[in-house]
Amino acid sequence: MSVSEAPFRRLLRWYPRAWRVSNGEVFVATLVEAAEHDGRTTPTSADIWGAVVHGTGARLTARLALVLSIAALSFSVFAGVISVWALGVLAGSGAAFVSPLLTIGVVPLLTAVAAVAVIRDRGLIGDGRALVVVTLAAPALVLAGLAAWSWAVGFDAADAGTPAPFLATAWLPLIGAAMVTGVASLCLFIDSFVSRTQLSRVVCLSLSVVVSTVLTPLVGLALLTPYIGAGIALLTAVVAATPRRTPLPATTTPRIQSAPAATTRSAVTMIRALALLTIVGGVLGVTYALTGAYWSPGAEDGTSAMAQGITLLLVATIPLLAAFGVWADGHGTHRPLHVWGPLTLLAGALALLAAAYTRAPNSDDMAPWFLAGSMLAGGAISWWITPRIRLPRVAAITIGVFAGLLYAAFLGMMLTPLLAFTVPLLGILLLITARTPKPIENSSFPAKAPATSEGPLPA
Amino acid sequence: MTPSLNLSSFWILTALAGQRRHGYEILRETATASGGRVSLKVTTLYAALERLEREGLIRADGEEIVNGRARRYYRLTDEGAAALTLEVEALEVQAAVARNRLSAQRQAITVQQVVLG
Repeated sequence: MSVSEAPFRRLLRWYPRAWRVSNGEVFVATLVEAAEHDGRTTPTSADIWGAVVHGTGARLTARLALVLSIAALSFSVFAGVISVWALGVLAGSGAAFVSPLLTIGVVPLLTAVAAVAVIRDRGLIGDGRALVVVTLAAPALVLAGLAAWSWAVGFDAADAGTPAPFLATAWLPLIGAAMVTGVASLCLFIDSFVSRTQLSRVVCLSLSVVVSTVLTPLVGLALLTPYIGAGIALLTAVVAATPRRTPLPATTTPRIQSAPAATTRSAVTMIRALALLTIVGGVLGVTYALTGAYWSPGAEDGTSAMAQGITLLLVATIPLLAAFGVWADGHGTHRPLHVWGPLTLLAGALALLAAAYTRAPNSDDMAPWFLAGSMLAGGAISWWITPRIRLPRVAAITIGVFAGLLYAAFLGMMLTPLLAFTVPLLGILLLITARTPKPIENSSFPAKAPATSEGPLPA
Repeated sequence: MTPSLNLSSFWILTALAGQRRHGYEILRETATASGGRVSLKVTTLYAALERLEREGLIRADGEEIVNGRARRYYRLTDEGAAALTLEVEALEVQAAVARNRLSAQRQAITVQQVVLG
């Protein structure tokens, strides 16, 4: 019996183009051969359903994950910029909803689909399951975003003493529905890992339900939090852009790795001296910030003393950066330019922030310095990350730039003053850990390793 | 030691042990070798082949056109053979434990019957 290929070939439409190109012909031939054997002329309903599930699931590729995560990062940066730097303008234009719409709606949705796609692409979950997880996760996140909006609307109404609008009254059903669909989605996802164990089916399912019930609010909250959501999108982009490891033939000669260069005695001495300087400056800064109001003629009150103390702490961070630079440069894994360049930018950012604090507490006077400091720090982060990501150059630059932009957009420098109080501890840590290494007995490695991981791998 | 391959993967690797086969041959072989317990659909087969190839357990081993139809052959890799060997050993351990327990149960029943006359 001669069977027409046409009805079988139509199933290919469910699959992505790349899949059709590499597997289409053999796939159709196998379908036709199986049909001839069974005496059929059309695909079975199982064939059609299988093509729908596997074909649509196969569209969740690393490429899609990369596109979606980059889109999520772009929207995150945009939302960060408008919410931090242009909120006043937006409030007047009636477009104040744009930032929340992006941060609790669009970005979590894109990030979740991208994350599932990259996980499927790595073969950690099957096509069908990935499809169902995404199908459930999408409404769960939309409902969670609406619940967050409902809460905000209700809060504003209560604050203004006006009756709660309809959306505010719908918070409970919205969050309930979000939880149910979210738990179902996460449960299926977790079950695909738990079911690989030797536990019985009932135990696997019970375990998945319990774990997903606990994790769903945390995952939802993480995705709906702008910084964390953007961080997850960034991580997804890195994984999606990282080429899959192809199994090497057994006979492949193992790569010879260079030994890291030893930090010299003089470098260790310098690191210790700089760490000591940081500790002294840091202790002085903390002491001044907490007690300066009582004894310093330059501090008018507690707020003024705190600002001056933070200024001292930020300045004290600069020798710490220098010490870190000496340490990183001594390890010789990257060109000195890629060590000292970003660190110099960061030191500049800290200096600008310190300058901002000399104008405290006048926030309007501080803002331009914060803005300049954030941008410089963002540049430092981009420069530090880009040559260290072992990805094709374009991917490495994109991810590095987005990491810097995210920091600058969300005003990461606002967090830096809080971290400044940890500076003395970091100085102590560096002082303790900076040791002259013992000479290497086996001298098969050169004393100073070449900069082998200079930049990203070629595409 | 516990088995780690799912049923489809186990029978596909088993079908490819010893010789390369094309898609439809694998379908037939898995159905025959498993005594009909595993009946893969073509869509499931290609999803599984893609996954096993990505995991390095099988590899494509040439294509040819037979009667105007494309055929791609697959072959077990060394990693695939090792994974299948481990799986078989794990199943043998499980089977041995079960066999011993059943044997002990039979002996107990025999002793009971003798005692009770």
